[in-house]
Amino acid sequence: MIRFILADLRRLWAGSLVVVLLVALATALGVCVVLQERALRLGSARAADKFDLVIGAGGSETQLVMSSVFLQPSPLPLMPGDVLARLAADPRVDWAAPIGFGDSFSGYPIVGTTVTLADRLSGGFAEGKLFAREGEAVIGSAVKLSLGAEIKPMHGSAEEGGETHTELVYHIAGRLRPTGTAWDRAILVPIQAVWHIHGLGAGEHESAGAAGHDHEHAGADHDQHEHHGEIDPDAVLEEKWAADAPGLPAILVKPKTIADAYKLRQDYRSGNTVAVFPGEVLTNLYTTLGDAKQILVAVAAGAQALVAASLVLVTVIHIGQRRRQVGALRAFGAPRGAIFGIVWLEFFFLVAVGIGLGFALGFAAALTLSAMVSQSSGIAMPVGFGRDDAGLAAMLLAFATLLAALPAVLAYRQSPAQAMRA
Amino acid sequence: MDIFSSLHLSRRRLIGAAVALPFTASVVRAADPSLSFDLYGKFGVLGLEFSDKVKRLAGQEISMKGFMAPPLKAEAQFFVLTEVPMSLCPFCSSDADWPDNIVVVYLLEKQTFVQPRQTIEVRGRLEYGSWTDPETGFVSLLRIRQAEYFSV
Repeated sequence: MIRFILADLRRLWAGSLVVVLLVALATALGVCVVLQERALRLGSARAADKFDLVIGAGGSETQLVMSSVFLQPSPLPLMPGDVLARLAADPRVDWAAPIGFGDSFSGYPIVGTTVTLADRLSGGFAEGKLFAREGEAVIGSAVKLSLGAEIKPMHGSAEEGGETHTELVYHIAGRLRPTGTAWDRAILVPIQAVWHIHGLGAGEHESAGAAGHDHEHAGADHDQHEHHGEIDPDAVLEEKWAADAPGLPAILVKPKTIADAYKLRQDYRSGNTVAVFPGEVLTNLYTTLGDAKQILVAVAAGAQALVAASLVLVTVIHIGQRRRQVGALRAFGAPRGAIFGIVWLEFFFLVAVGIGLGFALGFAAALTLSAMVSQSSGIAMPVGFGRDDAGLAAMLLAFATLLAALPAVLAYRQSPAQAMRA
Repeated sequence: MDIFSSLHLSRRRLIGAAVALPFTASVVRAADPSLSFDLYGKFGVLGLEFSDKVKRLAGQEISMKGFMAPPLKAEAQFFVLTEVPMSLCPFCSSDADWPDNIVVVYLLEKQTFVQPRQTIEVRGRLEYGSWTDPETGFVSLLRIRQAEYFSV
């Protein structure tokens, strides 16, 4: 029986190949959607895992998390500098680090922060050391620059026609280990230098209004910036936060206990600041992502149903054409069960191979897509099969079982006498 | 064809076992003692002290009703159970005794969450005392371990 089937498939190899390909493509579509959604979800979750609590000025929570955790440039409002001083003195806080963005260098975002965050971010250095002076910088693992290279900060980014700051040139002091987050593409510099470049900070209290330098795009009001002359690149870092420190777009906080995390979130959600867990923002996004996945899976299921219908059409015609052969087999004494078995196995085998191939194709497609996303964002995307995918495969195979039974029943019901007469 | 008949039998047994399994599991699962959010007995010298009921039930399988707080981590093995739904109600969370009144629920495996908007019931083993999670570095005082949760 098996040899009969193999001989049959060899004779009809072209048709069989088309059937396998049709099934494979329809399956791959569904598999790719499921895998890609999971990769996006877990990738973004793991990229945000290091960041427990983000505090910013009142405004959009999503925007705050996107800017601070995923380093998407956007003009965040500034909160007063005394928030940082308060947090640093809070017994519930393990450490708190300011982040100031807005400048960039050849496409890499420059983030002003403190020694603490640069040290905690990746748990060590691949080469070099932390910044210790105002004119030094630390780069993420995916930044294609070498130690000792010069970095000339640019206001905004090149696409926006930003201008290059001339007050200070950073020298790269160290390179961090890979973290699989957006921060791998970042250049970390002392926050104090960022303040000084923009004419803020110690010794230059023009007015609190200077904190109104939102990084508006496209160099709108550059001329109004009173950039001060030279900044001393060898100045020692001052990380004691005074209450009159310049404004900040965001602060990353590591609470001591889980209860502290919720208390801090509670305390800094009133007045002019907002405190948010990146995890809660992402969880809300996943709900949307899940809905999108449902729609795409439904579309993929529609495609699979179309393929199934066309296969039924082809096989029914095919069985009709082979009435004589079936009749001859019966006349030679093949039992009805054997005829059923032959037709069913042949068809099921083709569909099962198609499903297997479809899973492989879908996996390859998801890998390609994820690699593209990782390339642009720096976030590592874990593509992998989960436990639920076994259920999907089982469902498809069960469907194939039923589908294959249709032509098999048709062949089974033919009477040999009629077949010979035709 | 005798191969098929033996296959048939074992398959029948298999399906029968699979169908019976959830029922047997529910028979084994007797009702666990339930715990409310009256977790603290009194203010001791060292701050809050756990109630006698918590101490008595420690190490046992319990069930607890509450709400899932906004998740601290997007993908985690734990979430926080609170008495009032703090994700939606801006007035509830101004409660003075919140959030000392939280229970950290440790699940069997890491997962991402869908925030349930209704009461959930958590079942698992109760444990109290200060403990530091080696993975996140977070300290928690009251935990339910090997937990599973479902909407009520």
